[in-house]
Amino acid sequence: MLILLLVVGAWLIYLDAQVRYKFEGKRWALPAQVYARALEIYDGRALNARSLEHELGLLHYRAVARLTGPGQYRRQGAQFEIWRRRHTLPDGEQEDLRVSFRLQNDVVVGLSSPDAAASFVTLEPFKIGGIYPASQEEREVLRYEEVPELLIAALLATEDQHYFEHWGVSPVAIARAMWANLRAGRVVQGGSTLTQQLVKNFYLSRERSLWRKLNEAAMALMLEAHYDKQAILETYINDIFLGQAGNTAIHGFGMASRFYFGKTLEECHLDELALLVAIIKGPSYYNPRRYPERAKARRNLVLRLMYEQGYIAEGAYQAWAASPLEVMARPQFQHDRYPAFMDLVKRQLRAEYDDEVLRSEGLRIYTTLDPQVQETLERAAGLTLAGLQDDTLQIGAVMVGVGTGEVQAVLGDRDPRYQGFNRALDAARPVGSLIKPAIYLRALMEPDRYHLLSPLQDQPFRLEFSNGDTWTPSNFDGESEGAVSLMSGLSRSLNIPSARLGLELGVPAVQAILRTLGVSGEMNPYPSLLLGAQSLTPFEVSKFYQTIASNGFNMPLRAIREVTTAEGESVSRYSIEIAQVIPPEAIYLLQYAMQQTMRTGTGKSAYRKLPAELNVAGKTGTTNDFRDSWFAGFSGDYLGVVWMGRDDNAPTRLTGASGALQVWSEVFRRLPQYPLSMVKPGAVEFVWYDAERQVLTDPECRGAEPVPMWGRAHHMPHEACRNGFTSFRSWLKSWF
Amino acid sequence: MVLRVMLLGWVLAVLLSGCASQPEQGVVPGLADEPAAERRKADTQPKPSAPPVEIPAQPEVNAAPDGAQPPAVTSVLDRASAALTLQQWKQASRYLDQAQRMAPRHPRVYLLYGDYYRALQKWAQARAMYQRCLSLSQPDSEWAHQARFRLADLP
Repeated sequence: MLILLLVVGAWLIYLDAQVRYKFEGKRWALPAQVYARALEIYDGRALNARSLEHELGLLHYRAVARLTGPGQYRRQGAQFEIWRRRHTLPDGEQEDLRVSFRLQNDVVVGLSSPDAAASFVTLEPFKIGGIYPASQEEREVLRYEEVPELLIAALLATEDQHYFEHWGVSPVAIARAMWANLRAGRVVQGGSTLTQQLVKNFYLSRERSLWRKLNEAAMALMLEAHYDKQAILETYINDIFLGQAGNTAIHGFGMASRFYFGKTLEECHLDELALLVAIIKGPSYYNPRRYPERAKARRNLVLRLMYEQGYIAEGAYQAWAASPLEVMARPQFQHDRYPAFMDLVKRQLRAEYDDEVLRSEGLRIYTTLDPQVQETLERAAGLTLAGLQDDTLQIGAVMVGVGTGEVQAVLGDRDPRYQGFNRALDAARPVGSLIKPAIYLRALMEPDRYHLLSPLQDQPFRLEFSNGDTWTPSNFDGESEGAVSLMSGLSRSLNIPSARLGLELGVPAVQAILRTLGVSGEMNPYPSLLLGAQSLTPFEVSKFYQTIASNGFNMPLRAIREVTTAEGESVSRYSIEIAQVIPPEAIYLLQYAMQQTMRTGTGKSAYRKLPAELNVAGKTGTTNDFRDSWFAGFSGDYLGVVWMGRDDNAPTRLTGASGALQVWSEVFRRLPQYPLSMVKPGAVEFVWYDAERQVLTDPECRGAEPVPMWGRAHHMPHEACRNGFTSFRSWLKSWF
Repeated sequence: MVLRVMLLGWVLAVLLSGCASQPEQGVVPGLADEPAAERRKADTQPKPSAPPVEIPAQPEVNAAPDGAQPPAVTSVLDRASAALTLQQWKQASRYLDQAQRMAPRHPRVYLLYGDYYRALQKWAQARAMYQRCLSLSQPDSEWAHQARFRLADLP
């Protein structure tokens, strides 16, 4: 007997330790939550109504005629009113707030709020995914004070009427359940208290045995002895299993309200709270999406019990019981919505964080993804690929904020939801003429030797190597013109002048400038590098072009802004880091020539879609036999890099202009943005150039075009107007 | 010669006032005196009727004084400046990051970033930020003067 008592005592001590260890430690493995950038709204911000409504839709804001609470918006033409939800950002708690503003020509104007002085408002960021443990569980942990009273009432009325009176086990409830089960001849009623249910889910297995029942009862008593009722109920509310989204289990009422209704628990009406409580009995059996009638009947039972126990009035019961089930057709959980971008985020995170930490500590990852840019890129790619009618064509693309280095969108496959090979990050393909700006930039960095009007020979040549191999570059059209200006060589993407220029500078010098611009890894040491026989991924090209777009300032591309703990305490912040690597004068000349590419050169077809006043700069790229179609270009706000081709490297029949540029211009046509506008460095002066005669001339001459110069225009002849004047006044002026 | 002078006199008499009001032709791109505040964001809808212009117009960016920026940007920058004065580095950095996202081409953002890094004695970062400020400022603007002055003052 003594031995038995000792064994039982030891067992109880063991159970007690178990109860306390788990309850006081980390209760759940919380996956890291990954968020898109929070939409910042302020006067002067470029924003269009379509994109705004799309984002509000992602965040499950409801369009209403009159705002009555958070999570709603009203639109009247260009006028918007939004009742923002309360949320937490790394900057701190953001209270719920009503704001109104107008979108005038795609710019925010007149932002105001009846609640507070607001010159700036941030919406909650859209959750784009998580980093999950093997047993995928979604959970939004709530504090007891955050739980609506009506939910607790519904829970108690249905699951445990005497919760605040018993000690963890209710003999009355057990006796009642036994009697009911005996009468029915099968199990029709349970006698478990909420505490016992929690113990069963939290500590024990699903095994049905007397031994487990005994443990359950003992542990429930211990739990109640150690902790107060509110703490136990809070844990129950966050732990209970309430549904399944694919391979992800939905736990807790906080997450369930988002899963079924797309809103916070605080925003749920009584019928919705009752439905959540109804589901507890069997999330699969009472799945309101699959068995709406069954779920509704159970919901109404919950409402009736609430009425019978005095939690709600009869009128409320009748009204809510008559209401239809309003469950979202599709679950909100779309972890795989932006897989290519998530891939980038995970790579950056895993370089700094332990996998276990990412899967269990509930970190919040605030990224740079702009859902508006991402969806625009996806739409543009989809439209272009559909137009090309070739199912084997693939795509990789990256969008970056100019001057911020923030990666705003990534597309890794023609199917934006595809989770496999990420072409934006991993498909290294020859870049073709995308490399040429580096050669011309290297030349322009030597103002005593080169300027935009420097003549380049456009005559075929053959290079013989010591092993007998030869290299004979030719222009795309097979023609050659004898001589062209440096600016023309770049804007028209001529191979012979570019190769000659590269050889003049030397392949090592071109390699060096590519490294300066941000290209890393192994580099082709042969002259073929000069025509783009260098494989890079779209992401690597983005680094290279970001330096050009940001006026010669190198900045690491970032996909993450900040990481905080689950409580909102900052763990890491990723501020901008820059280094000036190219003289501003050389970049100015290069950007000018790259604008000419878009206005008159190989990229001019972009202006079939772009408005004429949107200044952009860019470069097309096509590789041998049309295997790769590239385009990289930027406006004042965005840099976009697009690659199109086939995975098996077969020819595509696409040039850079007919493939990648079409996607790029479709994206840039749709995004509200500022044009590229360059600040002229003090050492740069404009001269007037007559391209036909290849001489400097006067501003009044017809056909004269301004060309920026850094340093002196070497030995360029100057001639008066021959082809007439731009106006009578110009002619008149020439007399003096 | 007499004929030329007579012809010129006649032309001048006719066009004296009218010509003066005509816009100048062939303005050098990049020298247009257009304040940033008046620049309109490019309409994203294509205008088929608008032919592509031969010469890219290059309005000066951020040439306007700080007041021409959206008030929200100015407000965030003022807060950053105040935080720097109070040596609240963490807060200052947060405001600067926010301002940089809102107005990545505004020279004042980088001037204050430079001040922030200078205060933390991160000289290379401070230098890079002042250089960025210079690259975005008109050569004779207040921002350019301030950036040059601070660059000269760096160890």
